[in-house]
Amino acid sequence: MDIHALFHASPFTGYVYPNETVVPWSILIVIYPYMTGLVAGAFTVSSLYHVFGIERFKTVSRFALITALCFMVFVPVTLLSHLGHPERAFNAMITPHTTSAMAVFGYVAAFYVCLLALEIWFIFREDIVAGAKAASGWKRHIYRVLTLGSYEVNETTRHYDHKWTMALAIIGIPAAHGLHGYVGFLFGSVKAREWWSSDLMPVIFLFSAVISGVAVMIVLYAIVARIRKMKIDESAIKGLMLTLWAFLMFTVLLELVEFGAMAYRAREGTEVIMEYVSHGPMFWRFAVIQIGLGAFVPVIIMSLMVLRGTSGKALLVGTLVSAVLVLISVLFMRYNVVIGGQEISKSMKGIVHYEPPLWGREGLLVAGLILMAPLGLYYLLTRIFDPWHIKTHADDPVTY
Amino acid sequence: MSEEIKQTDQKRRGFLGVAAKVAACTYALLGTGSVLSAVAGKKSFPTEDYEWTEHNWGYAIDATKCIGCLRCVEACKNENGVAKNAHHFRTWVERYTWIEGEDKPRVDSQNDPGNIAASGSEGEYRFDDRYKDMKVVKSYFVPKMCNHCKDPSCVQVCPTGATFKTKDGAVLVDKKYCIGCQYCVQGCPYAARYLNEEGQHADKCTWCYHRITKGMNPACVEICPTGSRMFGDYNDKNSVVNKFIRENRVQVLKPETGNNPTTVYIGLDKEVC
Amino acid sequence: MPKHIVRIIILIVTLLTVGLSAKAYFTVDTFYDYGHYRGAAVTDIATSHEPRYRGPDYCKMCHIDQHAVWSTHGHKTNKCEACHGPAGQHPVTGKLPIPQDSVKLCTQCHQKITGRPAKQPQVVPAEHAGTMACIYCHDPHKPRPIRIKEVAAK
Repeated sequence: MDIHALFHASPFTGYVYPNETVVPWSILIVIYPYMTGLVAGAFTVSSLYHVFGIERFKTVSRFALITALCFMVFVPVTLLSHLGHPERAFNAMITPHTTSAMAVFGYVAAFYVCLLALEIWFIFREDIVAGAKAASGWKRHIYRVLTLGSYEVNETTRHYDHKWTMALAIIGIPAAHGLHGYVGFLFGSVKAREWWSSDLMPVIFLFSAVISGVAVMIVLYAIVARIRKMKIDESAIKGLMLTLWAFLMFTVLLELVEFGAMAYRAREGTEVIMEYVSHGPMFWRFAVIQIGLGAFVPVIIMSLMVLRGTSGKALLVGTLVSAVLVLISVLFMRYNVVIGGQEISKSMKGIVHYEPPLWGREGLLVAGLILMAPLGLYYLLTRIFDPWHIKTHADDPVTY
Repeated sequence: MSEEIKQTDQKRRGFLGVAAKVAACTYALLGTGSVLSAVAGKKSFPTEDYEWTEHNWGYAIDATKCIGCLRCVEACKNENGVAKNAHHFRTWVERYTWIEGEDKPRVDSQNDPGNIAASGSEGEYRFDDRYKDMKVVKSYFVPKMCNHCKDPSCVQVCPTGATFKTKDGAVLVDKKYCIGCQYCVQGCPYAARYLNEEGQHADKCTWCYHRITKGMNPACVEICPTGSRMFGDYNDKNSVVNKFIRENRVQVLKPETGNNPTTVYIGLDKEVC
Repeated sequence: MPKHIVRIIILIVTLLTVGLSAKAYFTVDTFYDYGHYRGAAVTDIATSHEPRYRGPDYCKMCHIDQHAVWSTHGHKTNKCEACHGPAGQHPVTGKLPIPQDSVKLCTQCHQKITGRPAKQPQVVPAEHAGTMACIYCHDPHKPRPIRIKEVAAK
């Protein structure tokens, strides 16, 4: 067998260790933190209503939860498709090695999926019961299973559902953010890689997760509203824009602080990183797209909108443009972290030049498909759970 | 570093001294050693004639002796069936060359395109003479491999327990249990690990565990014509590694990682990464 | 407590129990025996395959004459298998090839290249012997003294 057909080797400049010419984590591992981030961000939006009681997010709160679940379901797919032995994946849960960030991640992620599913179940329980009574065909069967055999809906059940939803939403905040901060830790704790090994990594991952999640909510809301011919709730859009604006400024600041600190500390080998960042593709990916176009431009657009009190169509367009730019910026941020970290040799004397292949298991095509798959799941899930049909009060926020 | 190893060695010896006395008394009481083991009913592990708790292996490299012939790389690939290409190595040799007027060394290894051209194929290994027309201040070879650390970061990050440190000091990969996530490949500061593309599991130097458990040296040590590579037992006061540490001022690679390598070197500059 | 709450709690507890039982059931034999790994793996690795490089003593069992010459001359630190390749099971599986291209073989150690320590004897092949093969003058098992008589005859 031609062994070369089995891997994708990259050229290099300077000196890199011989084993480093095959980049171990490729484009699928770029998609993995990106999708986890979208989950955490979308969950934040729903919590802003459910836990913090910000009324303007009421319209999108259920939509955000369903979106979070759709993306979360496909997070393990990225990891499984990347594993050499996906059929052994459960080894990490059967005998979890407690010193490994990755083993614990399996449990944290599983816990979070269950929590998310439970919260959705409680919020939609009245709809499920109604569906089990009224719907016909295959839907009826699904609803009936989901009722767990109890059609009971009255003041007592509402009280219980509300309490459970609240509790789950409150646990959900640290869980969702812990989940994503944890992804940052997974990279930040790798002491072998200078580009990753940073205490700020979990925090940066967390904040970029929030902005990407809010941005994806804006984009999806606009698309879904268009398809369903719904009137867009301007108050919700404005709220999402303000959230994006605030968190984005913080994220950019953190990213610059981290990079600045590394450049200023200038430990041995940092000159290789500086060379890498200021020339060639990394300059475009990092300075131009991630920071310039993807972060500064939306900050300026949104600041102007806030200053001028923009509303109506202009607000929607401005917010949408900013959201798309932020989504691109965060995708590039993931790429620059995951691939960038592996392009800088552990020898600190050379650079590997990785170019993602289009075809193959680790190719751009597969990554794109996995990234799009949640939208398909969203279509299916909303057949059963209609996020726009808000009549029940299971998810009313706490009154303080 | 050498100091640290010596200290732990002394502690170990101190402890062993006490243990030996206790053992001697027990032996005296029970008559003979064979009776003791018969009473305990203990079988040796991992193989019938090798007990891993009796050993604590270590590796020493004298870079000043390395001639860059790369027989070790070839022997390693032959002995362990490592893929014969320029991207998968359990051991490799680096060449550091300081050119007059340059403040940083130039580094190349057998995977460098120039060196592949000199050998004729990716399955053969040879250094070219690329610096012959330049003014070379100094130049030397450095053999590299897994450092079989005392606190290996690869083992720390492995999610399943498919990689582990044995009681005799080796860091091994259980290829039947590894899920192929390659977190260990990321975690190793020495880039000593790679994905075995055919088996789709992480792979690395085993110190030729199938040889050392039979009383042989690792293949790279066996084949090294100059004695640049040495392998021995830290438990044995007269072993080649203990002697090497006693007689030289040794150092380890990347001590700042806290991995505590058991592989010691002499003859390196600080630029050796 | 409403029926659905009881049922969801029962469902969660059942799933947890199933999960924990599955974890216990699927934990392979000998895992945790010696630490957080499969104990049997150590034996697997220790007995994975027969050593392919056998060492000079193995070669000596048949090639007594060559061994005697080699072990008493300058190349005695350079083991048989460095040039001849791994012995493996060659008495059973067939002859080991005798290296033909001596220039290619010898220059692996003796070509003058940057980095090689000065103590190592090294030559620029073209200057040292033109196009002549190394073995015209040097017996690989006994590199010194050179084969003056044979060279003169040629």
